[in-house]
Amino acid sequence: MIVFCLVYYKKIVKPSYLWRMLLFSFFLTLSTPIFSQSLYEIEFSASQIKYKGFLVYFNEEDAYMRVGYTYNNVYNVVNIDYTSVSGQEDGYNYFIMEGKNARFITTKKGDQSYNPDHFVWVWDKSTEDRKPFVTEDPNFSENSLKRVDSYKELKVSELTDEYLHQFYWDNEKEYVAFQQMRDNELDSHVAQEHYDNNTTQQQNQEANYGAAKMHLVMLVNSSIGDIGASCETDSRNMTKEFEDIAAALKVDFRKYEVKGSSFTKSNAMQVLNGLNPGSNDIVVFYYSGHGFRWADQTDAYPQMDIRASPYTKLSAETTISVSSVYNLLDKKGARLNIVITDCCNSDIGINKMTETSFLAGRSYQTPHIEKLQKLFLATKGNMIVTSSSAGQVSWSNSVNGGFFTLSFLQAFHEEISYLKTQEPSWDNILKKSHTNTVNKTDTGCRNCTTQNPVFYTKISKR
Amino acid sequence: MNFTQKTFFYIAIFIFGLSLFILSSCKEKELQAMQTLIKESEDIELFLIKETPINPLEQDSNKTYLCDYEAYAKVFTSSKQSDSIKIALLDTTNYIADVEKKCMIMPKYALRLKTKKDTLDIVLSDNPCAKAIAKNSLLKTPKIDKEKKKEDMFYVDLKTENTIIKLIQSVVPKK
Repeated sequence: MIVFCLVYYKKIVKPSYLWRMLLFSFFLTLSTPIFSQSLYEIEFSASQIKYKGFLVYFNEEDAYMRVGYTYNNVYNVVNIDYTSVSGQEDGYNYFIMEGKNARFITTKKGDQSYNPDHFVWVWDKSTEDRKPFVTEDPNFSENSLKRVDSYKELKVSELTDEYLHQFYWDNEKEYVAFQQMRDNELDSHVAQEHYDNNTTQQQNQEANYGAAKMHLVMLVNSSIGDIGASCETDSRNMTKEFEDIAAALKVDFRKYEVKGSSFTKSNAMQVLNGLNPGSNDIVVFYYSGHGFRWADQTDAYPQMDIRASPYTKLSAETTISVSSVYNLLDKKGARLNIVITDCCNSDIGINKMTETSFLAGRSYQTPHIEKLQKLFLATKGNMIVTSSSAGQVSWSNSVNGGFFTLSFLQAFHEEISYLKTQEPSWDNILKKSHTNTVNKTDTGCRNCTTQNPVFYTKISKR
Repeated sequence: MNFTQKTFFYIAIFIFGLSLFILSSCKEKELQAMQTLIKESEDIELFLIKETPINPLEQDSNKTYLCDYEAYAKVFTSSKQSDSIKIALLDTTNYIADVEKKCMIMPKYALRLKTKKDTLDIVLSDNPCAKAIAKNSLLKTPKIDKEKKKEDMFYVDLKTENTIIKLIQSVVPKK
């Protein structure tokens, strides 16, 4: 079976991205929340030498491992790049990481060399031992495959200086980045020292930015039959995200939710009209559900279909345009307004209906507090983003929700991370969200059509 | 793109990979169940339907409904055409099991397949929101939300280029 998978893999010139991404599922099924770091430790042995690998996985095209081992009483570290492919065959799942470009991080002696290691996971529902196999044979001969000794996901808090020194020099940028990431983990003792006096942080913040409240308006069609589950996932992810942001910033937080059976235009408008933000407040509006555009529509932003049940006939009284929400919030006087919608923007084939009375949606790790402050407290203005351009559909699934929502959260996490040194900006976040979304639909999803988010920002420093 | 940008740029791709796999597994089971029903079917009827479903409590007993959508016309299909439609329905490459479009289904066509025991109804919408809803006592969708609604409908997206809609459109008389 393993040999078949490997032969099959070798025959594939360039496996489609969908199968490549089909997954690193093994990693994620064993790992904690999906937004946690992708750091792993693999220990294996060969010819009486013990190897320890520190794997940093970004995606199927981009991963590397630092392997440390002692040979002839000399400690060596090698860096190996990896590409991977995954798929299914005859009821088995496989994930293969092929190593290449092995280069010594420590000083190489004479003609010392290192053949890159390759890793293979093969499993089905009944597989108990899910440790991968390792081989240095590029042909993956069955005789060469050996089960690794151990394999585990690493927590950021485990990246002590001592641990990192096994794989990195002090002056390597990755070493510094991991240190920063670790030091600002909220549960580490170093971070605790830094944030011990919560009152001090809050007082300093209020002195600099004034007291602020975050209002989160969630309009989510969680009951609709076809996409309700994915919308519920979006709701959960976005609520948690902004709750965490408010908690990290220590600002008051108020959530307004219209979902499930209460998902109606009347309830949505009641919430929107009833909003009364202060002049220093932040308002975030998020929609996940069906979307469309009228056949004669010129507005770039879609209509939201506010019907919890398909039995309710589509009409002007069941739709809200995204632009109208943006305009409504703009007039409310909050300091910062953020409008995010994850829905289709495809032509419904009907001209706009007029109003008539007939009947008729890792937690982020190691947040950089200063960056959060710069994004939410040190800015003013409006932004609006929707998940697809005119004529396009938006894609989602029940496990991860909307592709755009996921892309937005990931772009946001990157922007506030310690691994990024540039000043944070909403424009960057939206551009990255756009790129991430396009990549997901173009290269990560075999059956998807391209999805290009549309956005506009008018945000400046206060 | 530098190391940092790469790290997070591709985490976006990396993280949702699992979801495609998991969702694919769940929907595939229902899709297979539907395919089994289609294989066992003996007769196919084609209807044109109105685009908004009617609540079962409000349906007119003198009218025909498929997945709660009212049929306003029946389209004659020859046995050859029925066979072709059946083959297209059985072609799994017409379906998308791992992802969903966030657009509203506005179906135009419906098929009723008669099996020995009961019927399988399928309503279909065309692009840009090509989707299908199938109804049969053996097909289920997961319980929705905390409201614990359970439907005996199966929702599945269709590919932009799918042979099912093409065949049906070739059969339906043009106005």
